[in-house]
Amino acid sequence: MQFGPHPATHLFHIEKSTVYADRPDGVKMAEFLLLDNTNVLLVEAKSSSPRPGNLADFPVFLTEIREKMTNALALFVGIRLGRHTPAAQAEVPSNLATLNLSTANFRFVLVIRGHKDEWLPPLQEALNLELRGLAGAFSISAPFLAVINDDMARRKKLIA
Amino acid sequence: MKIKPSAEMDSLITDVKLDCFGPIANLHWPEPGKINLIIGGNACGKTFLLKALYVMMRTIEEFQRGDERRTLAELLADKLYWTFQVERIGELVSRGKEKRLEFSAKLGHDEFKYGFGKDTKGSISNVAYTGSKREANTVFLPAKEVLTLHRIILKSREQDKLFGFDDTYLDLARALQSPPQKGKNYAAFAEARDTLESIVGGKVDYDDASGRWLYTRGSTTFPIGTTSEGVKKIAILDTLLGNRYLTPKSVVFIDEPESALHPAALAKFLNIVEKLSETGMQFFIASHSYYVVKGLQLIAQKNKISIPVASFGAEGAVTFADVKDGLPKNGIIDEAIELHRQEVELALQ
Repeated sequence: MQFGPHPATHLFHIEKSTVYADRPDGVKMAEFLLLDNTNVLLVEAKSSSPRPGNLADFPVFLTEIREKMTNALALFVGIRLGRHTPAAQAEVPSNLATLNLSTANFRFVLVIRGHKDEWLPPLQEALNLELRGLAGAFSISAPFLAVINDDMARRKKLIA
Repeated sequence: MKIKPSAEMDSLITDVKLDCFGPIANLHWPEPGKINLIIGGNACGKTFLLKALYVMMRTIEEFQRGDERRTLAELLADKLYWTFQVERIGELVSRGKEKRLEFSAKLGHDEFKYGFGKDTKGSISNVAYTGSKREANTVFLPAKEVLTLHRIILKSREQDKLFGFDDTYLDLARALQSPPQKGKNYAAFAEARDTLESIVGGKVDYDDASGRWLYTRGSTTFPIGTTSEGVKKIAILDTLLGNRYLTPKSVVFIDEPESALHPAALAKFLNIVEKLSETGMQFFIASHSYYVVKGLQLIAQKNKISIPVASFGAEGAVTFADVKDGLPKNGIIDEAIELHRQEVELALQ
């Protein structure tokens, strides 16, 4: 999936950041943060998810998404708090670098390519439950999650 | 999907045809199965279809039963009158059509058919049935429980002869009071009763002395009025299995099983339906519920059985599919998708 185009001032490829590059093994990360109007979207893109009925993979999948979102939010806030090097801070584009963190509307977005519309609601419900702890810790108001397919992402202009 | 005819199909309803029957302009359902799902929006004809089939079954079952003297035509006219509660039977003919109402269906290898025009008042001349006496009983389980209304149903119909509670309610009220019949003990029935009783956490029995239904949990007995709607609904099926009113050749119509049942209880209920269908019982279930639709899809796929679904669409169009192959496009799933779409819009606005 080709995300964008988005203004460079609004887009932070956190998965490609130098801080993340130095990560310990096994630390997972969402793909990017995007300032979209008043929302800060933490976006993870998947080319697939466990198909409905594939029970064994499902909890693993949910955990993976939660870890990625948690690490992305924590790293972004860590950089903004000045806990990393100036070089790391310089990688955060201007509009995200000056964002008021106490009032920002964070939103978790999972885009799954090719996922049928009718498969999305159960995944939305399951991830709502999985992420409510993280949303609660950062006082992110509901609805804080959008689980969408590439068609919906295209309509929301997240992808080309 | 073609269902191979077998001895099991001998007592099942198949080849259902309705023309100009109330809101149903035209329906031909060649192959209902042991469990059948009927979905569609409000006022599209789902309950009408259930009741039309119910009328056929009860007409056949009451025909020549015991000392019953009414002819097939007389029984049919009475059942139509008291089930649909119309002043003239001709009012059942679809409005705006100059055609006659026609109904036919097979029960096993036998055919039942009738027809009449919009001017028909109280008698039907055109009725035919190729079969003979039927010992089994059919029952219609409505959305609302009937235990609380049991005595009122019987009084309003048997004494006062008033419209209000139609024959589905009256027949059920009588069935619940039916004394236990002698007969074979079916393991599946015993299993079903155990599961039903575990869902409600107790038993419901009719107390002849007081003429009331009572719920017993452990060593404590409660009047039925203090129990939940869900308990009462479950108790109805338990009672009918216990008194053997229902047998493996019974046909059971269930309107909105989801009403008053928690989704977890509903899932167990649907599994009971599947187990009972393995004994030979046939079920027709009308539902608005995502849990019923999805639950039956999973039962079909897990057990590798067909569960035909009749989807009532706009302007009386009815399409057929098998949930074993996945759910057809339907308003219930569409609404789940729509709710999801609204949530996404809210999240990303």
